[in-house]
Amino acid sequence: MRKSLSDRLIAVIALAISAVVFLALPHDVPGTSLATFADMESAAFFPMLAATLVGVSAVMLAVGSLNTSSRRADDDVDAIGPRPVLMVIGFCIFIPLIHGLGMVTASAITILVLPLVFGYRDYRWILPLAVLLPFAVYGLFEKILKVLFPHGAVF
Amino acid sequence: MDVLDNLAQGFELISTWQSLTAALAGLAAGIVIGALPGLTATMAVAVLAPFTFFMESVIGIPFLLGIYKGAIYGGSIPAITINTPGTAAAAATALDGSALARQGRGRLALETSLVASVIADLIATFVLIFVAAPLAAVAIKFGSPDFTMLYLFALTMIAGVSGNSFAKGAMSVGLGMLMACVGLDPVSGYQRLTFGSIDLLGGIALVPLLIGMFALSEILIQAEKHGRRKLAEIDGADQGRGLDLRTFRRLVPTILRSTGIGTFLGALPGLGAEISCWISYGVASKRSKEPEKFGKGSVEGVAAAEAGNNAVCPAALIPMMVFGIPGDTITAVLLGAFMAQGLLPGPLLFQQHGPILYGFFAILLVTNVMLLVFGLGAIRYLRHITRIPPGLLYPSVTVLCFAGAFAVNNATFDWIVMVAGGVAGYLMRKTNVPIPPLVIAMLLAPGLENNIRQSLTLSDGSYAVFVESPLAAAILILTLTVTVFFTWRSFHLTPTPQPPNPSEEARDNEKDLDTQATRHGHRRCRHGRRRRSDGRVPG
Repeated sequence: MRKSLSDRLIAVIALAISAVVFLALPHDVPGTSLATFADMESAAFFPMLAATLVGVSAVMLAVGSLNTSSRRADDDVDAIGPRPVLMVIGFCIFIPLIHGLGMVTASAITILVLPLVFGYRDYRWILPLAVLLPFAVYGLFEKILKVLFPHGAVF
Repeated sequence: MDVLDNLAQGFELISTWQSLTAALAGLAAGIVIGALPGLTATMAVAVLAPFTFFMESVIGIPFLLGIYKGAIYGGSIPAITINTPGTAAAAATALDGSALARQGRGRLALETSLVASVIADLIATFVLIFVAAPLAAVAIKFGSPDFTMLYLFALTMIAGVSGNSFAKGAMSVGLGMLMACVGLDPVSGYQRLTFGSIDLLGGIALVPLLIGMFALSEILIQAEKHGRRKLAEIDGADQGRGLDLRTFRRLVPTILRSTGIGTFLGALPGLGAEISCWISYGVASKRSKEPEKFGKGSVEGVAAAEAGNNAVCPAALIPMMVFGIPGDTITAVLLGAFMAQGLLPGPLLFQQHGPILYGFFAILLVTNVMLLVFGLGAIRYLRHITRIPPGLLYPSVTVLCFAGAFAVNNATFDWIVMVAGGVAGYLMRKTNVPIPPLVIAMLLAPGLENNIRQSLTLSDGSYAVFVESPLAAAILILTLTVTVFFTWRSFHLTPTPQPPNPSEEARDNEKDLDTQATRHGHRRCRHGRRRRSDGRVPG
């Protein structure tokens, strides 16, 4: 994707966020309208100010991306690769896995699987790490710092 | 004399085996993490901060300060031994450090880096000690309109100097302010931007978000590279003669000058060690009697870069402790840790927790001695740290991230915040939207909102309150001036296309730094080296 196009996409997303804030605030703070912007003591003022800043900077960014000189030196923005997407899916699975199996077991599974994403397959190192690190984390947090992790079906 | 008395009390307070062991452990952990390319100092402090929430402040904060110092120094080790800076702050060190290593003078580079770091840090710590308390005594007289303008100025600066686009910086600030609004309004109690979620009533947890934005996003970036890391260790990287007294004497002016630059830049919001190292390096090359050696193996270059980046560490604590304004992302995380310990940074901090603060100052001095002793003893072994494969490193960090994020509030929702922060951080890095303004705005927003409301309550709703105070008016004019400048720069700075770098290894090394470099919009155009195709260069 070209940088200018990516900038325009960011600008659109930022404008959408700004619009959502302006639409959501009247539900949160009774009596809020655009006129509330003049009332700096209102609970809605500060979020409105922030949303306006986001909106104005989005417009600035969009205008900047249309600028002829910046188009001339337009770069490509790296596309999102499959591995980060896989990692995020992994993170999303990890959370219920912790509740289902327990922190120690879920961590061990994660340490066994994640090295593959990084192209590392030396299980002589991965296996001891998958056993030792979750227990070290368990010992440090649960036994010393007294933080109780979710204990699932296994451990 | 008050300062010295307080410092003596501070030494007494931290003279326990727990505090000293915590500082030493933090220093060692920081050096290891800083020496690992891809693991940044901010990431180290963010991931390890939750450990300290369960400790006393005189144990937990020394641990974090040790990490901070160790990580900034540690970044120079791979910069010299494998030409890959461990942290972005050590990018300038790589230029001459690796060249010296190639010439078989690696030991000289490593020792110069260590000595320059320690001296710079020591001097900057004394500046912190002698400047912070008097400044806090002045700051205590600031009114809420003055603070409002000071926060606005800090946010404008951070938006302007982070990254190559003021629009993106300002957008990041706006998003940070919005995120800080989520939860209950502190005055009226109305829900704001919670969208009916009970989990969001207490706001977005800062530390899990920081872990996501700085650590998880880095893991995602590294995963994209498939754990690719060039470990072309330079033969004899720790060989040759070390730093002798004659060479050291020759380096003293460079170290002192760079320390001054680092201390000054560190005390300004937004300008971190990454920028200071390049400016110090540039000034040193200009003032050097042998400028032609810069980039080809100049000891002065190593000393300048290292003194420049290490002086920032204590100096960045000045605005954080006195005004509650973090100088860079690491101090932003430290600010979160201070708050978690019940130490609310600001002018009152010195009145309310004076002895503890002087204890922290004392620990900063002690860690310098530790760094020197530890560094000189372990210097030839430290380079082996860089051999840890990313395939083992990042999964371990992932597990620590999840454990640390949960530990803050014992809440599963914090994992969701962390993962969302990680995804957002990854996308922001990909699109060059700077992360530091978002984080710092999120930290400053409650103070800014509170001061705006206080000002208007005092003035019965009159906006004139913001220009009636001479200080507030002066800061407002300054803010408007820098806003106009940054806006002008955004629209008029035309990037120059340059040929790509022929060395794949150098390109890989630079890519590690790209995110940091673009964040700070830094250019090494003056030296005419390694420009990227958009006319910007890493570092």
